[in-house]
Amino acid sequence: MVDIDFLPTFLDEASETLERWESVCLKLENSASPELLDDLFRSAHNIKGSSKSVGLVEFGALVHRAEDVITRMKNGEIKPNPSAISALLECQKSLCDWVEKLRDEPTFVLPTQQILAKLSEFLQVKDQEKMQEDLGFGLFDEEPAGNKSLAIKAPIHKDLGTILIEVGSASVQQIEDAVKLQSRRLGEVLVDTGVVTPDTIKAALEIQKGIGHKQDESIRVSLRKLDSVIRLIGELSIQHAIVCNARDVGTLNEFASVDAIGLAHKVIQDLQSETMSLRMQTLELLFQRMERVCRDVAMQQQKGIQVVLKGTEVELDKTVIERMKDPLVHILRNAVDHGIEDAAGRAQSEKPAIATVTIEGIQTAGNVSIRISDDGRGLNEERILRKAIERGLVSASAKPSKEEIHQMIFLPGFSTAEKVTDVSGRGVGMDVVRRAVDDLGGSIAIESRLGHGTQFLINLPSTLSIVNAVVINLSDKLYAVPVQDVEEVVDMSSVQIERTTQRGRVINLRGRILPVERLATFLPPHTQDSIQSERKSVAIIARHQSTTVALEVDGIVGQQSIVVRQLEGKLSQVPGFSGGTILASGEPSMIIHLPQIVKSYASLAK
Amino acid sequence: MQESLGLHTVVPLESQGDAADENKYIIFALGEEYYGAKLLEVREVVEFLPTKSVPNTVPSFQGVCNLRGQIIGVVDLRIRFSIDAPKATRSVLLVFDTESGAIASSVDQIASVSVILPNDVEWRPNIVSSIPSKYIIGIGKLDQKMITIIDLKAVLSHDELTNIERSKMLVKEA
Repeated sequence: MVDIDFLPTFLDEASETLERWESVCLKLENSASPELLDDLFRSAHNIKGSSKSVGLVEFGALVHRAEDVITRMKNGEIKPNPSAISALLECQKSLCDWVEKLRDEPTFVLPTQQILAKLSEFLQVKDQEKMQEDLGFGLFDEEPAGNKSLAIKAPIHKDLGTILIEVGSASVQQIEDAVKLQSRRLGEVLVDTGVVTPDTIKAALEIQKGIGHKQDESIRVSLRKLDSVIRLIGELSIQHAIVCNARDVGTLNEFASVDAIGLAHKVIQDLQSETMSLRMQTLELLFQRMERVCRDVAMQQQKGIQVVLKGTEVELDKTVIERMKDPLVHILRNAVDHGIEDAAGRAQSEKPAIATVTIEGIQTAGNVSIRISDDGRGLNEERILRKAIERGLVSASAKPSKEEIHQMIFLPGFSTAEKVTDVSGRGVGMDVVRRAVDDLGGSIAIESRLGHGTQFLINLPSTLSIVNAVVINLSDKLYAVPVQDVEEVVDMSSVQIERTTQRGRVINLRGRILPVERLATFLPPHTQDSIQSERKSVAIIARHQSTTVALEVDGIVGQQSIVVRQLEGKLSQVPGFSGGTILASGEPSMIIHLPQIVKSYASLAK
Repeated sequence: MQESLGLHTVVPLESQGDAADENKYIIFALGEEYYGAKLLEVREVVEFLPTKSVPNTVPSFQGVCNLRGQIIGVVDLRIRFSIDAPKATRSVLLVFDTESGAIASSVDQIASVSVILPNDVEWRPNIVSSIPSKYIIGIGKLDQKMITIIDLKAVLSHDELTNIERSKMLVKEA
C-alpha cells in the first residue's frame, strides 16, 4: 500500500538522490575511484530504504538490483566499464521517469522487466536466484492477482468502481448492478450486497484520494537565504514597533516620519531582493542534465565528444529553468546529431577526434545568458536558404543577410537534415525553441562559421516576477507594457503618416513601411473616435513573428519596474492581458500582452 | 410544522457552533431589496475600493481593484441582475474565494449578519425574477422582511468575464 502522506517527501528526496546518482555515474566514466563507487552505493541504498518505507515495493526492487551491481563493482567483481555504467544510467533514467509519473499518479508502476534483465546480465545466474528468494517476491513474475491486497496496480482510473474492478475485488457486472441501485454511495451499496468488505472500500478510497490530490511543488532553499529573510522581517517589525510607539507618545513628528520611512524603504528593498532570490536556482542541475543528453546522443551515434560546463553557479528563476529544459535538449541534440561530424568527417577536416560541446551560463546585469557552442561543421547558409525556398518559407527572390538565414532554422516546418534520424531531423524542434524563448521574454542569437562550429546565445530574464515596463495612457487610463515587447517608441508627429486604402494608414520609419493601428481598437470599450492625424500621439512598435505594427496610444507616462501579479480565474482569460500590477500610485493596472495584440492584428489583416 | 420546529431546535451541544454558523447569512441591499448570502462562503467584506475598468470584458464586470496588493475582479451585481435603481454612492465589496480564484461583488450596503433557521426558508422557490432561478437558494423570512438568498459564490465562479462579441481579439488558447 502506497503511503500517500509521505509520498511527496519521498519523491522530492528521490529526485535529488537520482540527480546525484547521475552525476556520479558521469564522473565514473572518466575515473573509477572507490570514493565515487561508495557515493553511488549510498545513493542507491538511501533510495531503496526510503522507497520501501513508503510502500513502493517494485520501485525498491529495481533499486535493489542496481545496488547489487554497484556492490559487485565495489568488490571488484564487476568492472565499472562503459556498458555497466550505461546500464546504471539507464536504470537511473527509468527511476527518474517513474518518480515523475508518481507525482500525478501515486499508484503508477513502471514495467521493469527489461531494465531488470539488463542489470542482471552483470550478476551471476546463481546469485540471481538466491536474491529472488531473499526478497520474497517474484521479480519477473506478474504481480500475483491480489484479491484483497490493493497494492499499486491501478493506473489513472479515478472512480471507485473502476479501482475495485482493477484489483479484482468486484466484477464489472457487480459494479454495474450496484450503480443501478445507487441512490446511496457506491461503496455502501457494495458492502451491503456483500460484494466487498468495508476495509477494501476504505483502502480503495485512500487510493482515490491520492489520485485526485494535486501535488504542491517544493523547492530547496539555502538556510542562509532563509535566515536573512527572517532577520529582515524581524528588523521590519522592530521598525514598526518604534513607529507605533512614537505615535502613541506623540513624538512622531515630520522628521521622525521621514527617518522611519527611509529606514523602512531600505529594509523592504533588501527583503524584496532576498525573497526574489528564494526562487532562484543555480544552473548546475540543468546543465548536468544537458551533459547527459549530449552523451546519450553521441553514444548512440558513436561520436566522440566531451562536454564542458561553465558558469554552473549562475542563478536563474526556477520557472525559467524548467521552461528552458526542452528547448536546450532540442538545441543540443541538433548540435550533436547534425553539427558534429562523424569520426571520418572530423579526420578529413583535420579536427581533434573528440569534439567539444560547451554549455556556459553567463550573468549580466538583470539578465542571464546561456551559450551553447560546438566545434562541428557549422551552419551551411547556402543549403539553409535553398531548403527554405524549397519549402516555400521565404520567397525565391529574397536576398537575406547571413543572420537572417541563420534565424530561418527557427521557422516552423524547417529541417535541413537530409535524412531523418530518430534523434532529430523531423523539422519540429527548433521552432519550439524559438517559441519557448519568446514566451519567456528572451532572445536567441546564432553565430556560425562553416566548418568551424556553431554557437547559440540565449538571453533570458533572470526573473519573471519583476519586469521593466512602459506605462502608457489610453483615454486617461494607465496600462503597463513590458519593455521587452516594445521594439521602439515613435513620436507620430515626427513621421509622415500616409493613407493607403480607406482605413489603412502606414508610416515610413527610416525606410521601413509599417502599418498603423490604434491600440484602442483591440481594447473596447476604449473609443477609437479620434483617428485624426493632427492629434499628437505616440506609437509603440511591436513585433510578433513576421508582423510588425505601430500601435498608437494617447501618451507614454514613463518607465518603471513593476511587480507582476498573476490574474486569477476567469479574469486571466480576458484577452489582451498577461497579468496585472499595482502602479506607484496604488492604483491597479493591467499588463497588456502586445504579442497577442499583434497576432490579432495579423489575423484581422488577412 | 410546529412540532418539527421543536425537534430541529434541539441541537447537541458540541455541534451547536457549526449548526449556528450554517444558518448565518450576510444580508445586503441592492437598490431597495434585501438579499442574503451564506456567511461562511464570504472570505471578507471590504469597504468601497476604487475599481479600474478592464477592456474586452462584459458590462457587468466593473473592473479590478487593489485589495492589499492582490488584484481582484469586481462584478457589479446591479448590472448582473438587471436591478434598476440609482447607484449608491459608496458600495461595499463582498470577496469570495472560488475554485478559480478570488473575486468580489459590489453591493450597496450591508444590512446585518443574521441567523435564518432552515424552517423560515422557502427552499428553491419557483418564482420569476431577474435573477436566474438556479442561483436562488430560497426566500427567507427575517423580521417581516423577505430576503432572497442567492448562491453568490456560484454566480461569481460561473460567470464568463470575456466579452467575445465586442472583442476584436483572438480568444486566448486555454
